[in-house]
Amino acid sequence: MTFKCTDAFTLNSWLTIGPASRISFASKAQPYRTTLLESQLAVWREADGGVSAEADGITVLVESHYGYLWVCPSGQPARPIFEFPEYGEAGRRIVDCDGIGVAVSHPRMIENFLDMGHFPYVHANYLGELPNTEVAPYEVKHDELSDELWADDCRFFQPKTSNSATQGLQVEYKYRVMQSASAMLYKTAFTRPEFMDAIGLFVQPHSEERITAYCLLAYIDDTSSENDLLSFQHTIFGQDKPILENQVPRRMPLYPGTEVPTRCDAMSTAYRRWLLDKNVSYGTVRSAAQV
Amino acid sequence: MNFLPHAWVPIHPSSRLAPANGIVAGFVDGHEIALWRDESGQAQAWENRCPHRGARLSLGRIIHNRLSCAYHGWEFEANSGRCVGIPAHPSQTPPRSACVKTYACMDKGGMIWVKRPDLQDAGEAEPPDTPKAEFFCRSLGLRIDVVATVEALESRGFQVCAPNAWAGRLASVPMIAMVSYAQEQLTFVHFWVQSNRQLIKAGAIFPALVAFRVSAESRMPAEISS
Repeated sequence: MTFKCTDAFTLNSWLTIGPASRISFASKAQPYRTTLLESQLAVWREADGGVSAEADGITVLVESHYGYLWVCPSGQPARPIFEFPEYGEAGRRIVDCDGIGVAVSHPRMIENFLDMGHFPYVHANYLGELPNTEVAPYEVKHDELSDELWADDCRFFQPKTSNSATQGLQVEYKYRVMQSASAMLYKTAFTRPEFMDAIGLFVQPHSEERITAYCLLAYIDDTSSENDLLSFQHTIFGQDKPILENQVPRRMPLYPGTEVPTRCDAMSTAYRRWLLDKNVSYGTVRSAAQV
Repeated sequence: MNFLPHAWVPIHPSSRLAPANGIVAGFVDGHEIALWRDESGQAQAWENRCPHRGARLSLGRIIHNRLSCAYHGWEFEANSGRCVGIPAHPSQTPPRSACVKTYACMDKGGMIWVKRPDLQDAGEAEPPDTPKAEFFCRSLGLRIDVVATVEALESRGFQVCAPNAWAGRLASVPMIAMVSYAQEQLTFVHFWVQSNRQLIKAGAIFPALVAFRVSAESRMPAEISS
């Protein structure tokens, strides 16, 4: 096994290695090079349009979906790539915000994305502001069929929910965890409040404590320039980065008693339990002795 | 080598930490510390980790005599370290388990001392007496272990004068060097001068401290190879 990972769930999942645009000019002789689970990857486009990838010189399973490249490290995917119907929906703008490197584990990154409680502190004047700090109860569901986690009916007052927002808005959110390193959120579109914008967070774990977080928008927004949409997301991710890089430990503790959740952490608690149920060891700490 | 382990470690000059204003990140014996003062001036040495989601508390701020975490604004009260406010649930009483680990901490002789976590229950109710030193000069963080640091001081003629304290001269100026083991390959030396401020202002001491750092850190390769 070339990948430095032992848990079957991570090895049998689809992990992104970046936007498909990375291989536009790549060839077998001059491939796109990146790292996944501490293994060196070379990726290129074949003459017939197909994608090929090698990890430390050994062929690995790679597919292209939603403008992104996905590798299944074991070559035996537990399930096909998740559904993302908004990607192909008429009237939506697809904007690839590309990635930002963060020195943290992928579960910490995903958890941050699922969390409304930090909006007024980490994203003050954008996604939240004092004194509107209260997080209303919301419902968490596990979809048995797709093995996905959903948080519905999330609501939060946001002073500037997106680039097109000109005033504060009570925003409705839905969160979704498709895989241990992929999540989506759906939130009220400012210019068309009867619709929900979709934001994908796809995390590439280079190692247990170093990732790239990619962000893909499927937006209902006729007013913002692509550059403005991108800049807004970069601002938000730039605000999260220093917090994420200052979490101790960088890997996510999954054993009880080390970190104390509260009611608004229902989605985070469900995600941690889901990781524990699947025996995910990569990027996690499973006992106090490991710290 | 005269390094006598003592339960109390000098980690920060007292004058450089104002009441209810700012949080300093420090180290003691391999542990990260968030250091702050409450409104009454009592120094607080806490584990530098929020019990909620592990964020370093040194990124937070002091509001209403409490430390507020930068990630979710959880508020922790002085002395006990107990969580007394969760902004996401303003009407909820925080659980008792939401409590920051605290360490014994005292001001003495111009320094803030923290009791080593492994010796919290040991004797030594107070930090040791140290020689009278008038003016704090500077703290150096050296990328070497505490043994190499003490050897570097002693090779310059410094002599141990109290637990964690050495007396000697740099640039002909009498000085006290207070040493704290921060973590592996990181040691802090807090230099004090016994003479007046004019000597610091004259600028002779700082080049001597820089030279001390260079020579102390460059001793490393020789020791590794030997």
